[in-house]
Amino acid sequence: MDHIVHTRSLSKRYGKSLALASIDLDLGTGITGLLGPNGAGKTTLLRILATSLAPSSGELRVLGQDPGEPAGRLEIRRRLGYVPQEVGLYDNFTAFDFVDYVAILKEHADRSARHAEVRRVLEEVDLGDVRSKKIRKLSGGMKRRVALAQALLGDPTLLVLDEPTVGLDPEQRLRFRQLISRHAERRCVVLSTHMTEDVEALCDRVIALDQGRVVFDGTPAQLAGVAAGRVWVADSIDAHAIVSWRTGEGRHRHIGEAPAGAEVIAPTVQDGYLLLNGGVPEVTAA
Amino acid sequence: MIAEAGLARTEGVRLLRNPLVWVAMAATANMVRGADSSSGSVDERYLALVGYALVLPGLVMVLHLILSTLRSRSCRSEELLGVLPVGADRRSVGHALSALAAGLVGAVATMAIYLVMRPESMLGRWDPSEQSMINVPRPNLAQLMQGPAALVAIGVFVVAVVRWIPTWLVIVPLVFLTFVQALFFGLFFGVPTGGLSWLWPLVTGSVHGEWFGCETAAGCGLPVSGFDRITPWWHLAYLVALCVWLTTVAVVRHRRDRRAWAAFGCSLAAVVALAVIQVMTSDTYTTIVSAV
Repeated sequence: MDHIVHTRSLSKRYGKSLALASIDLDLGTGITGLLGPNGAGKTTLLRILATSLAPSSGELRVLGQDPGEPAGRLEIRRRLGYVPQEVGLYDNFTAFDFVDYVAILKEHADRSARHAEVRRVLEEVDLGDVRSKKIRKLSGGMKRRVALAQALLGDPTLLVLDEPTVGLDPEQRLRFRQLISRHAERRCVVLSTHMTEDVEALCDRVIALDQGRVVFDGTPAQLAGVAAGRVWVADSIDAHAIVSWRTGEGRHRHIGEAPAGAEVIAPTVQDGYLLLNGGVPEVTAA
Repeated sequence: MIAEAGLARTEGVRLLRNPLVWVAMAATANMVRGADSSSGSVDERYLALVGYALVLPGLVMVLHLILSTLRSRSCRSEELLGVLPVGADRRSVGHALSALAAGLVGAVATMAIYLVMRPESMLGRWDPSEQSMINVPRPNLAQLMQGPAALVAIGVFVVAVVRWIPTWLVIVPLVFLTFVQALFFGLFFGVPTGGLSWLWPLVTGSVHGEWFGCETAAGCGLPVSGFDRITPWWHLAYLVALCVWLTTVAVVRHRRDRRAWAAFGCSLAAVVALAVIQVMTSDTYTTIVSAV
């Protein structure tokens, strides 16, 4: 089977520091979420997939092409949608003009077809009504959606999104999930996020990175399963817990090694992720 | 080239929509109206027609081109734009082509000045020595096109400079060069055009030498004895070649394959050849005028 993204022993160094260490991935259609603390290597991996950055070593094929070759890189870029962490929108442009500008640079040659495509993606991210507004007058969430709109131009086969839900309000996040899940039915979407709820709600697959290494690769349910039997609630703080907090109901939720007789509850993706970061060395789902 | 043309169109339209360009044009129109009135001198009319009227709007348009070329950097968009099929090298071509909009503005302005002045075959008579008059001819088509072509060349020049030195501070040496161009190679009608003057974008075309028809010692050795109307055609070709070469200078900032270097080398050769031809032509013309 041809994978949309295929890596073997992919590494990236910045001077002496190792940002990515021997990453092996095969990604097909669907949504893959990257989780990890700051500096884990998520953005570096996404930049490499988006051809913004070259790996230091290892094998990489994206959409069947080698991004190390100019022709292959160009072919990838023609079928790629990318939202970097910092998009850098042109504040003096209207939303329409900016997306149109990107469309020109995506080689949408025919002017009327291009304008129709720009209107389509702006409608898709629910910005049709404000397309003539200057970007500097848009809210943070709207700007984020402009960034997403430009990535959706031309219906790309591979969508790489670096923290796409930052700045979106809950309603916008729901719309984002709806949009991305619809898009991913026949496409490959790779997104990085700190929001475990997004991963739980959206992703078919989750990859957790830490210090440039894959520490988990599996489904969200499997990540939640890492914390199975290790999440419990009690009326007071339990010293056995690695992490605990008081819930809105006035009880204390604990993660760690549950004591005998504890009131164990169903874990979430966040619980599993917190446990990964809490010292579990390496967990690979079956 | 379709994407580059599309980018040039977008950037060109943005330049034309810049209100400062039209404010500068209004100021220029006011100055030209003064030159065309009864108090205006023939030299002012001549200089306005050969492109010097475009200095102020030219400066504004150059500033616009600097900022638009720098936009991806100042807005921190390079990471996004860097993974699009049209890369930085092709964007340079698009930005360079957008300088044609500046040329268009210049051409329309020159045409408007021409229509307002409605010059006869002679613009008038001018007295460089206050003793004898010389005829100042109406500039020919090559001279009329010199201003718009110079605007395009300067526009492409700033795109190339900004690609290599990506800061808006490049405006400082550019303003200095504009003053050098205006003060030492124009504005003063009496400053003669030597051969090397033709390397600058704007040239008055006034020829230094013994005045044609000189009979008495008092009237001889005038700073201006005539007007070179042949070299401007070569100068236009030189400016076009310069635009192409400067575009390749911008392109090789981000792309250094064999094709880019070949374009760079060929266009540079054309610039040098045309520079030599125009200097030789101008020197020959000066000699002929002097000999007569």
